Amino acid sequence: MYRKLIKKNRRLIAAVIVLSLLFMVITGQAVADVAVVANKGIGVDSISAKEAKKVWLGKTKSLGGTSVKPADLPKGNASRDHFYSHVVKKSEKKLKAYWAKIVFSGKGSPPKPLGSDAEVVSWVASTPGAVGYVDSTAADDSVKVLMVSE
Amino acid sequence: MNKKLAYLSSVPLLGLALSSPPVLAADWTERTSVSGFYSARYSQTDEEAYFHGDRETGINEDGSFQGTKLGLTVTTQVNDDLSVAALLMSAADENDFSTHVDWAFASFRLNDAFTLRAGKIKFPVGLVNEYVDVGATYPWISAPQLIYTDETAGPQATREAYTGTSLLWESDIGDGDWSVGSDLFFGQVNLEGMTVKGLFGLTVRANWDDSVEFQVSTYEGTMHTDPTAMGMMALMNQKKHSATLFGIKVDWNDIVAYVEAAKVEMDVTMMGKQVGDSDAWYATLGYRIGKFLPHITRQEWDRDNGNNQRISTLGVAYSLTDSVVIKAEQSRIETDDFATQAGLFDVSPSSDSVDMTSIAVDVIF
Repeated sequence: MYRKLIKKNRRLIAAVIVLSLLFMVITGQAVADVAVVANKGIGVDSISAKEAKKVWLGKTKSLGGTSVKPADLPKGNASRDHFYSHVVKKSEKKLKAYWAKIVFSGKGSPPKPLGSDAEVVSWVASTPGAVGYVDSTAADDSVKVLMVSE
Repeated sequence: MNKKLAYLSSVPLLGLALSSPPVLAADWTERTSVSGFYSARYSQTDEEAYFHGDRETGINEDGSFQGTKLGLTVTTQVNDDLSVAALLMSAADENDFSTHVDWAFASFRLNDAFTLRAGKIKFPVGLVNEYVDVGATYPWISAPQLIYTDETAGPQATREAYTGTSLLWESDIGDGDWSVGSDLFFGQVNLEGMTVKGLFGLTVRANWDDSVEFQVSTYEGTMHTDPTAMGMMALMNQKKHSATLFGIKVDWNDIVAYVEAAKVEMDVTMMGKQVGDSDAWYATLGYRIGKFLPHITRQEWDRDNGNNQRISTLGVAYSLTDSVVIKAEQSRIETDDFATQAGLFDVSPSSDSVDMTSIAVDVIF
């Protein structure tokens, strides 16, 4: 009886399996862990989400005695979306307004804009005081991981 | 190197700058960032007298593009501790655009808490005065005129920019959601027909997670007017000018609110009566509904001499994108004793109630 039912609905079952796999791949990508990475010369080995938030909002200017230089991924990047919604907890709109007030009063500059995880890792590895956030799978031995946001 | 030294010598922080290692020329583009803003504004009243300016710059029944401007901020990080920043602004003037350096200063970070600044610095008094020309940073088309005006007829609470020095302090409280800061400043400010010298002031701020901000400012200086000045301007010469401002700003979830009050004292007497003191305040309440931010504002300005004015505004700001905002406002300007008093009009208006309609587009890039 089951065999009959399966045979009758095999196309539907196949479609459900394919869609489920696709959903797992898509959502798996969207919720991939985001690692905060730093130049190996930076004087700390870990930071909290609150400290990371302050670094990316320009409020914390040094970590472990080193002047800190944060980098940003472009808008629409999954790691950026995760980082700003889970760690910094600011929408893109509020973030834009926040930096406008600082930039147009001459009190600071937003994080350095970079194009991809690979660019962030390579810039962080070669720049003293640099920090970035990337998909955790992109963090390699050239940088140190300060925190992972799941 | 010589070129760079000449550049640095133009700022008073040369000594501090020289203590830091030189930067290679190739690094300059890497260390310099440019940001800009643009505001297009159009306002029209139902009155012949000009509001917030004169025949050339003010707003009346013929309409005005007052407030239309383009600004570019250039920030160069000279080294880890020293940065130089400037704002070039081109504003709609009479019948053309005129460009000026709105502010330009050097900042030297002494440590994580203290920063020393020197140059032409935006006046740190008033919740939005340091970015008052950047419309996209607040809900209104123009920051409330009865506090934020540089017209000499106004309450004289805020100023454009002063030339001098400032010591900034910033610190976190507890687990970091609260931050506090202060700005101790001194210098002088040049206005049309007047220089305020010996300017000395302090602004203290407290901020909760960028959602609630409190600010208190106080300053004083001595007014030096043009020797040929007549009337009120002549009476102001060598007289003390002081102001105290208090403000609260809320941007929490969908609620946006501003409340600010200013008390201004100018030691000016006319026929034995004190005429230079005034009190001004405004309150704004807005609520975000999707991309729309409808808001309501009430402003009042009361002077010793009875030259009182009130403005009620109903407005809406629509966020087209994260960087583009379209705004529309309807205001009613009421003037007490309008037959003899003018408030922020250039001459007495023909009625105690004048309506003003304004539209604007604010862009940041």
